[in-house]
Amino acid sequence: MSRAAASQDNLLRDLIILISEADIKNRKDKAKLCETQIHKLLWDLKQRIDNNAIKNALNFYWYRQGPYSPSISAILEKAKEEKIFSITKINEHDFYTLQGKPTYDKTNPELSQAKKVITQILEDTDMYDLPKLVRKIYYHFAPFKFQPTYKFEFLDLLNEYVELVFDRTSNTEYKQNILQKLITALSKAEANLPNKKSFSKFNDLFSQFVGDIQVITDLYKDNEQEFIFTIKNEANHIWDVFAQGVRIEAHDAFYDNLVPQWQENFNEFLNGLEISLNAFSELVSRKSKEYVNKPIESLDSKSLEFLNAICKGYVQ
Amino acid sequence: MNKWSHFLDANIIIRGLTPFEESKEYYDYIHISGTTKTTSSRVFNEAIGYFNFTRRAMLRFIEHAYINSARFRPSIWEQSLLIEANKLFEDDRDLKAIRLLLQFRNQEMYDVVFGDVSKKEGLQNDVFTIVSRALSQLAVVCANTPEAKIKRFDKCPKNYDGTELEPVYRKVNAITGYEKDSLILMDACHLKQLMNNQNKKKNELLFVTNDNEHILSNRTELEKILENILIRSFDQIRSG
Repeated sequence: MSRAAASQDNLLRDLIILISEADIKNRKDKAKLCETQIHKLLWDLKQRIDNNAIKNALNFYWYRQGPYSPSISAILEKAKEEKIFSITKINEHDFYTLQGKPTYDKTNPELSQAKKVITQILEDTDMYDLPKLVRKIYYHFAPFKFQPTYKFEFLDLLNEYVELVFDRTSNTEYKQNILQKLITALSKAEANLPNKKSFSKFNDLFSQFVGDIQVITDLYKDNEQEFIFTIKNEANHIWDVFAQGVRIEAHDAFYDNLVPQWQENFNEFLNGLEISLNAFSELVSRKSKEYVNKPIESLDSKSLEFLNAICKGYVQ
Repeated sequence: MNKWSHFLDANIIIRGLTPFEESKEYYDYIHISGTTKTTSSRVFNEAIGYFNFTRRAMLRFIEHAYINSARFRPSIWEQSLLIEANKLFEDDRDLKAIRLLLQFRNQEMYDVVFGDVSKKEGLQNDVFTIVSRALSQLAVVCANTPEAKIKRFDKCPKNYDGTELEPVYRKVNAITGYEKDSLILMDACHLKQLMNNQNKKKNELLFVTNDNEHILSNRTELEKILENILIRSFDQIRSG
């Protein structure tokens, strides 16, 4: 490791200690931070601090759970070995609490500046509500509006809807209301797909998925149980694939050399998604033979005229 | 299948989805006429893809118009929107969808630009519902069962490389110069071959399309290669 890299790692380690120390000061014996929380707080620090040395030590790219830094994960792993933190396991996740009084250079002016900003960040953040912090970051800073819409509006509602589908005691009107919101969220997500050439295959696959959901919710309403788990799996699969693409578009310059590899990964993930969504589309289209005699709910004449114009507009 | 089964291209199927005015003849042909009609899953997917594409273009444009509404002045809003559409989209198909949106949902688009979020969501839901009905209609009309108005054949190869029809495919593709259409013509050829094997006789198939650019303009040459397949436009079918 070069001296510069070692020095950046040390700075990163000290920043994590500072955050943990500030958390103990605020929350006393309730203080504990999970890895996602540390990532998001350090990301917030990077946005707020006016100090290039600190900014340069904090390098992120957007990924599955928002801004992510492999360096932070590596430092936390190392800190575990060095027993800088005590670890509590909650729901399979590690929570870190500073133990003892680890040393860092208290005369370092950069760390003093960082400490002030960290104190402010912790004052502004509800440390007991991590989802709120993650949502705030997504809604304010995500590179594409598709991300918060899909993750917090569509995926969250989908999880709720899946439970309702199998809950025989659920109120039909409430379930219908959630389904309507789900469809609105899906159309909003599609409306906010990235307008970038690099996402054109992703966008086509996403629209294919939307079309299949439309047929299920419009035509196969009585058989939604048959499809709901596949929809949920594919919806999560889509998010994973998007994460492979978003880091190519939204990363700090530190990761520029990884972009060719990321591009390859994204292409592989897209091919996998294509296979999987084509199989889903086949499943949906095969089902239609059971519905050939079912009348389709009609449109009003104004909408029918519009649909007719759309149909006439098709020229191969 | 009787002697003259019809194999339908996507442009015929899409056109026959609504019984509205001048599309009614297409609608009646698909829904009422007694002819045996078939197609392949490739054609079906092409039709679905068109509706998915159109929906996405319209939803994105409505969103874009709403987000950028501060840029528009009431007196020239429509021209400004068209300029925006040209900036946002490069594909002509997108622009065509936007022009339809402005033509058939003009007041609603005005309300999106100068109204609140409920107007935007209302129009997006409207577009979403219309396309939902089109997709459902398509699924019902064109299914993989003999009961369907158009029997969809789901077992055509993904491509014809390495199949016994590869030499025919090469010739067809050299004529059309457009792989997508060549593959659809080959699906008809493949289906006819299966019918021949089943019935132990030479069946004839009418390939019905309105595609002039790649198919109808090359009809004579294509018919020579695609033995026992006749290529006809919808107007020719209608006039007998």
